[in-house]
This record gives sequence, structure tokens and C-alpha cells, in this order.
Amino acid sequence: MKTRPLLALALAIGVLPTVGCQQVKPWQRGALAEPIMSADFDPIGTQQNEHIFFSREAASGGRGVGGGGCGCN
Amino acid sequence: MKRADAKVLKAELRAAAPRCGRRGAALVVAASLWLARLNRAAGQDHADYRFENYQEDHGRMGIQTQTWLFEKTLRPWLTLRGQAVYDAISGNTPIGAPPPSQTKYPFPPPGPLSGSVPTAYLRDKRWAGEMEATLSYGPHHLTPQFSYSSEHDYISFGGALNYSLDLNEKNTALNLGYAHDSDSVLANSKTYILRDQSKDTDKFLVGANQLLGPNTVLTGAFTFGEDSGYLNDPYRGVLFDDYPQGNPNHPNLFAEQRPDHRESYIPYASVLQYVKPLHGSLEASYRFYADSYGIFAHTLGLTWHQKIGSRLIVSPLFRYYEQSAADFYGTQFPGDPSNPYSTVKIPTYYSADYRLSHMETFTYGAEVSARVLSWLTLDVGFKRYEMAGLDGVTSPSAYARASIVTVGTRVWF
Repeated sequence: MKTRPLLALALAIGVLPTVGCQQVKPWQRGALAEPIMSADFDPIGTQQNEHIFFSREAASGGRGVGGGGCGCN
Repeated sequence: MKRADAKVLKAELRAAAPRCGRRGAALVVAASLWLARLNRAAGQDHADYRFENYQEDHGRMGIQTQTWLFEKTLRPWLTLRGQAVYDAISGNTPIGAPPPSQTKYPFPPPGPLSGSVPTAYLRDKRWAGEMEATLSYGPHHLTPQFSYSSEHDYISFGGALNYSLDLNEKNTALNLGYAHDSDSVLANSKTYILRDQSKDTDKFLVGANQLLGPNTVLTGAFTFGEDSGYLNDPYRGVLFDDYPQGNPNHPNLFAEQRPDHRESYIPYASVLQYVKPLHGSLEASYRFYADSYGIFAHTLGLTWHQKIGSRLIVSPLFRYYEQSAADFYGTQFPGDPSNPYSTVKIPTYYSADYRLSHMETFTYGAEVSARVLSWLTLDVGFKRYEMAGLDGVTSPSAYARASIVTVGTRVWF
């Protein structure tokens, strides 16, 4: 498999979001402070779901790295 | 009481004492303690418990999972997070053979044959734990993590290091991560292995979170993964056409053979959008996956969080997943590996694990979370998880369908 296009894609993912966006000031972040705007809204639920998918599907990961273990029956 | 609260209290006491005397000072102390308590009740530290019952239809696998989690900010620059998981696992799982009615026998056995894939009963329990500390210094956040998991047939030690850098007045965060797992697959009387085997996994992540506006967060990440060592499933077998069979319901199988090296490439993107008129938010995510087994997968996730009043959140979700088959997947293979004189070429790699087949899965359901007290949240949820084959060859009976019920609580402190 050619890795160069995928590495370019990785760089694009890391760099592109920083370009051309409006600045959000601290006093404009009321909505962002809502619990429902937290990426970590339900940490156990997210992890349990990911574990089910990891056990039943060939693909896994993408959201982050860490954890480990199996329980993959 | 936190140091900042104590300073405020001392200043209030000094200000109140000359004017109101001891009674006034006592009132101020009482009021300040009450306010400090309220402040703590609204804090971010919490301890969670969740029970999940995952039950597949038709007596397939059932897993009862209990999870305990805590998160505590000890210092402004130090947050600890720990988690413990206990799984009770039991039920029937496919052994890798096709249904007897679909098996290609050189000499078909007499009588009616089952149309379902043969299964074997498994029972196990698993303990797992994770501990991580987030260390912050200005815009830098470093999170080392250690994890451990133990079953009677599998032991895993894991370490991870995640780094996050705030940029652009906290409009942007760059994320880097590395994780390594060192696992042991343990032999027992039901496995195809006679000796314990080892497996190593490395994952590298680069990504970013970007505010696109006051109501929108964009997340992008790319993960590269590398697995090496024993990557077979020690319980899955493969049926070869030319090997003599006796009882069709208990076929003679050979251990599957997967490559001992696997690389994966995973771009991921998500958008979290606050919808002010509806007091809700939408999280939409897409993941592409490709690996050296020849598997390509697409995953689309949608979750809506609906606030109802100030205490209730209802979160319906939908997820769609589709994958292509591994290059070496088949329901059964030609030849007989035990016959050195066979003229039929045996493939180098072969697996009949239905989880490597061309398939799709659907997940849908909802969760309700209620903050019943300022320091207590309760939640309950129900989901369905449904797998379906897309290759027209793998028996539909191989694919699991499950109901998932969750009940949990969070205590804020």
C-alpha cells in the first residue's frame, strides 16, 4: 500500500483546520461550555460502544489512542 | 476547601468583624461555606458507574459489563483519571465452519443438515484497568496512560502518551499520540495453540480540534497502526474440502492462518454543532479505514443531544459501518493441509472468521441522562446492534444481532 498519499492526508487533517477560521473569543463560548458540546460527554458510554465495535468488526480506532486489552469474543 | 476559597473567606472575615461583631462574622462564614459547597457541587470532578448488558439474539454471546470511572483535578496543572472494568462473558460463538447444509462434502452425509453455523460455548471473565494523568503547563498538555487487562486466555499491558497543544487563543488544539500494547494469548484446551503466543500493537495519531465558530467544533485525526506477532483468533478454525469429515455438526477444522503483520491507516473527522433554537447539538463523524489485510471500511456516526429543561438530556444515535472482506477470507477452502501428496495448492493465509467478511452493521438507540440533584446524574439507555453479510456466501446465521441495555450514575464532587 502506498503510504505517501495517506501521510499527506494526515498532514492536511492536522494543518488545514488552522487556516482561514474566524477567532472565537472567550466571551463567545457560552454554547461551547454546554455539556452537550463536550467531546467527552459520556466517556464510559463511548468506550463501551467502541469495545463492542472492536469485538465484532475488522476496523477499529480513529478517535484516539490508548487503552488496550481484548475481551474480543 | 480550595486555597482560593480560604483566601476569600479570610478577607470577608476581616471586613465583617469590625462592623458586625462575632455574630455577623459567623453569618458570613456560614454563607461562604454554603457558597463554597455550591461551588464544589458544580465542579468537574466526578465518579461514574455504569452497568451494561450486551445480549446477542438466539443464545449467542452475552456480556455483562460493570465500569467504574473517576476524574479528579488535584491541582490546576494535574488531573487524574482512573477506570476499572469487569466483564462477565458467556454464550455461543461460531467456530469458523459453514453450516452443514452449505458444506461442500466429497461424499455428502445422509439425512437433514442444519442450516446454521456450528457454535461453541465460551465462558470467561475479564478485569481491566486504566490510569492516566493529564499534566498541563501553559498551552501544553501531556497525558501518560497505563492500562492492564486480564482474562483466562488473554493478558494485555498497555502504555500511551498523548500530547495536546493549545494554539490560536485556544481556537485550535493540535494532538499527538502514541500507544503500545504488549499482549499474551494464553493456550488452553479449547484453543488451536499449544503454547502461549505474543502480540504487539503500536498506534500513532496526529490530529487537531478547531473551533469553526461560537457553535461549531471540528475534529480531524489520522491514525497509523501496526500489529505484529500472533494475530489469529485461537478459537476459530477453517474447514478444508478434502479433509475427511465424520459428524457434520462437529466438523474437523484446522487452525486459521492470518499474516503475522498488519498495518492500518485511519483518517477520522467529526463535527460538533450546537443548534441554539432547538437547545441541542449534533455530532456527525466519518471514519475511513484501510489495512494490509485488504480490508476497507467506512463508518458514519450521528448523535443528537437534546436538552429538555435544565436537567434532562435525550441522546438518540445512529451508526452505519461497512467493510470489505480480508484478502484471505473464505467460508471453506480447497484441499487438505494434512495430506502432503495433495495436488491442490493450500493458500498461505486463510480464515473463515465471519468478522473478516464483507459485511455491514447498524447501531441505533437512545440514552437519557437526568441530573436529578446538583451532585447526581442518572442515565439509562437502549441500543440495537445488527450485523448483516454482504457477500452472499457467508451464512446469515453467522452474524450477530444484539440488544444493549445500560444503566449508570455519575456523582459530582
